[in-house]
Amino acid sequence: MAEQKTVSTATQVDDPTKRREEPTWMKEARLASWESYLSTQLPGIRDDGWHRTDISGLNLADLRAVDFHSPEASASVSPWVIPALDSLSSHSGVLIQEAGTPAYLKLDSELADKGVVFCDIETALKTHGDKVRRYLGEPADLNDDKFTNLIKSWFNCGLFLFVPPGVEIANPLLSFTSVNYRSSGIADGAVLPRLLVVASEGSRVTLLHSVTAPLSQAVDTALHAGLVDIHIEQAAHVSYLELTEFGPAVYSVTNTRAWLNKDASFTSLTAALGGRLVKGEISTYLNGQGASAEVAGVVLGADNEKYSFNTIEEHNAPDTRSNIHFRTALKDSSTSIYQGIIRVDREAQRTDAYQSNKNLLLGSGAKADSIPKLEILADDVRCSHGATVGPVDQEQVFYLMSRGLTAAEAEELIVLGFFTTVMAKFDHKPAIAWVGSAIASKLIAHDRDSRKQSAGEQK
Amino acid sequence: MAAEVTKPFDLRAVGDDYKYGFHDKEDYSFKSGKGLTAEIVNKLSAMKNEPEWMLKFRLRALDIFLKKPMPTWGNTELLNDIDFQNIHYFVRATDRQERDWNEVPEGIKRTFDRLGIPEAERKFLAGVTAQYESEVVYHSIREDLEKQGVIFLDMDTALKEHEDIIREHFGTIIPPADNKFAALNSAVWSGGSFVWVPAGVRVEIPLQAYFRINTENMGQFERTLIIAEPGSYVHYIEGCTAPVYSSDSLHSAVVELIAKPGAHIRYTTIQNWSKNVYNLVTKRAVAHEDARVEWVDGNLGSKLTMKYPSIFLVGPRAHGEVLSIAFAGSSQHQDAGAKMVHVAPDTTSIIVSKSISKDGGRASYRGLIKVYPQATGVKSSVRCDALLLDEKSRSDTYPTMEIDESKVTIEHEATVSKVGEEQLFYLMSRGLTQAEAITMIVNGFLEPFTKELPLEYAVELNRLIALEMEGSVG
Repeated sequence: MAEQKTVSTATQVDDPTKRREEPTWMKEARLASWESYLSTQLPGIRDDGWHRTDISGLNLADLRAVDFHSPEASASVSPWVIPALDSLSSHSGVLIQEAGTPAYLKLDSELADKGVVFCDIETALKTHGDKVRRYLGEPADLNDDKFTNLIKSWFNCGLFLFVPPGVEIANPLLSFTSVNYRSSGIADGAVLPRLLVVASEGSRVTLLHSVTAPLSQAVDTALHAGLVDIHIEQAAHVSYLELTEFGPAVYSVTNTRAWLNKDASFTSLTAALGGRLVKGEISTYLNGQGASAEVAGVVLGADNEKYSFNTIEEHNAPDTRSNIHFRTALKDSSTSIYQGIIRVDREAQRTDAYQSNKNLLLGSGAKADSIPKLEILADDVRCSHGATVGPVDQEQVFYLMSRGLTAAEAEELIVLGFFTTVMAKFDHKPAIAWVGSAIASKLIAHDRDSRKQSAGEQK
Repeated sequence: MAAEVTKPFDLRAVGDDYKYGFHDKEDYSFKSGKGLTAEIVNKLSAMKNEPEWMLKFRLRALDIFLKKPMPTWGNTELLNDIDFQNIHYFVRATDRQERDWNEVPEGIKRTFDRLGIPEAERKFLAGVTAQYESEVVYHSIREDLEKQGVIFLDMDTALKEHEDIIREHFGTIIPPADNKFAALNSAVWSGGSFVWVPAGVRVEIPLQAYFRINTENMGQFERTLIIAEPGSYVHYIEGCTAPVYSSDSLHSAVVELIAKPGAHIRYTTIQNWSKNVYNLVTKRAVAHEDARVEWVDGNLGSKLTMKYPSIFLVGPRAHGEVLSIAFAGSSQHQDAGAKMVHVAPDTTSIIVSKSISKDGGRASYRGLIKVYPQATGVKSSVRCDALLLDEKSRSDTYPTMEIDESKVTIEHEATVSKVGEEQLFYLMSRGLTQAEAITMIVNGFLEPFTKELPLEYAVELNRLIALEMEGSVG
């Protein structure tokens, strides 16, 4: 894996399996998805899930999959992770993956003894091939879109988390992935993580995953495309948090899918805090009776950032429950598109589903679309959704200013409060505080920048 | 209002409880062959003695229709079943249009008697137009309205008598290229209403039109244009029926409304086509400064309805409302909704949609709220409620909000549920049967709609709902 590999439609001879020490079945699966990739089109703004989301500016042919390395014993914790580790000091394992440097991996030995697997995806293919084959070796899915095919064929980082039956892990597992384009000297790179989580019967686990690609002027375009597959077996519980912060050159396309068996439960929080175009799809398949999902999302946009999120709730079994809360605050000329669908199958009687999308338009050029959809085929159900779009309530601003806050401080406080309501749905307090501080620092840094700018203009 | 008129009929005997399902013997002065060609369009235009520009308009629209692909959204399965070559595009039932009911040919008169039109007129409704097949067969307007300068004519006559005003507005709100079915209508339109209300005139009593398809495989393409001059008010009501045939008919209307500054238009539709009619209708209004437009839209009949009355709010402080109900029974798909396009500042809109699905029927709400940049101070609220009466039926909600301006307030809410057990229990404990209790709950659910109708329509609607609800229990 010394050389960079081209992800290019122009050079069809590219082989995603070259120089990879992987089982044959994995190579075959990569090749099959690569075939599909070559024959699928980039999604257009009229395609399902891509409403007014224009990704035609991204030229996949120019991208190269950047190199990640397996963990080494000598690897150390990079300085940029330390603040996060401080605020999440109670944890059970850490995986740090950075382009060009060896990964850092740690897992509580007690958990390892119980059979818990937590490692980067490359190691998993080498040492837990039997466990991952069922999920990664599946034949290419004809419904996969271009990005899913791209990830399935070229994934270059990611993780595998396996929790054996009945094992409950109290403290979260942490995953940090970063590409520092400037220092690694990689231009126009693609980071393609593949995350696989398997929570066996009656198990419990929390995974906090963060991806950052710091700002860089040196790069024209970069891509982060991730595929996150979460399998939750009977009566198991998974909490999954994803925090992404990208610079203005980065396109991000993430596809998160959770399959819930009988009485399984899933809690997720997605926080998107930057990028040129950030596209996310979060699908929850409630396939077992009594399954329940709590899906939350917070998006803070600034400058010309574009966000486009889809949530899909498929109620395929009776007595299932889902709750979606998606909140967006948009500064400057940032834009957001939210689409959500609740589908209730004929079998899924006594479904209880709720979906809420609220958009705060802070900047004068901010735009928000909301498309909350329902498709209901069972009659004994309770399904509802609500959506709102509007500016900050001036009465609240006035109240806070009468208490001595400046207008900017008042707005910051209102935005934080707006997000906190939704983040509180996530069941790990330190993680909420961690995301909250990331939101606050983006708000504050941004306000400082714009104040400087306007001061400069006045001179 | 039609209670006595329908007495001689055993409702159940007329297929699927549809009381307007009878059909008359065809005795027509002209019936076009099936299929659509430029030749038919030429002939239709010539028979109507139309000006040259209208023929050109039709032919251009035909060209657009033939080139435009079928929609790829909505119920594409049913849409693709439409056989455009198996439709009579123009049927002339009588050579003359009557102003005195007694002179209408006996067969057609009998049909409309059954529908209760003379009944309505006896109650001094402001004006009545009855369209049978492609053309208007009966027309009347109250003298005092004529004195006020109100024009209420069928579209064909209006084109002859008021060509200038029609030429200025026709197809400006819904151009032929808007969608495939608007193009089809523009090519072969016939009949429909033209209403012009002079500035400041209030038409206190509703104007009415009835549309009836009689021929099998018939296409009805009426074209309605309503212009309300500044400060005027008009309420227009239409009702639609058709007989039950084994093969399908197509109804594809275009309705254009123009509400000039401070004008107020209300447009009420009770669509009760038989369950073999494709009802693919384009309805759009433009509301200028301080104008107000309301669509009150009831969908009970048809096989597939695709209809999204829309309002373009182009002048400051214009207000738009859509109040829509859909009742989807066995083998029906009601794909209805509304669109509000906010172009000017301080415009406001309200959409209330209620749907009921039963016996395997499918009701979909499809809507759009669009706010353009600079349209500050916009307020819009959307409320969709759906009731599912059994486990075979289906309900969908597909709303879209595209908000390109930040100083706005947009709200959307939707619920889907079944009839509440507690409500049922309460009503039954008061001595109602289960069927009566459900019908009462359904009527209550639809009340925001029914209360907006003139009394005789509200009564009629309640009767229709009761009919539809029969046999829904047990």
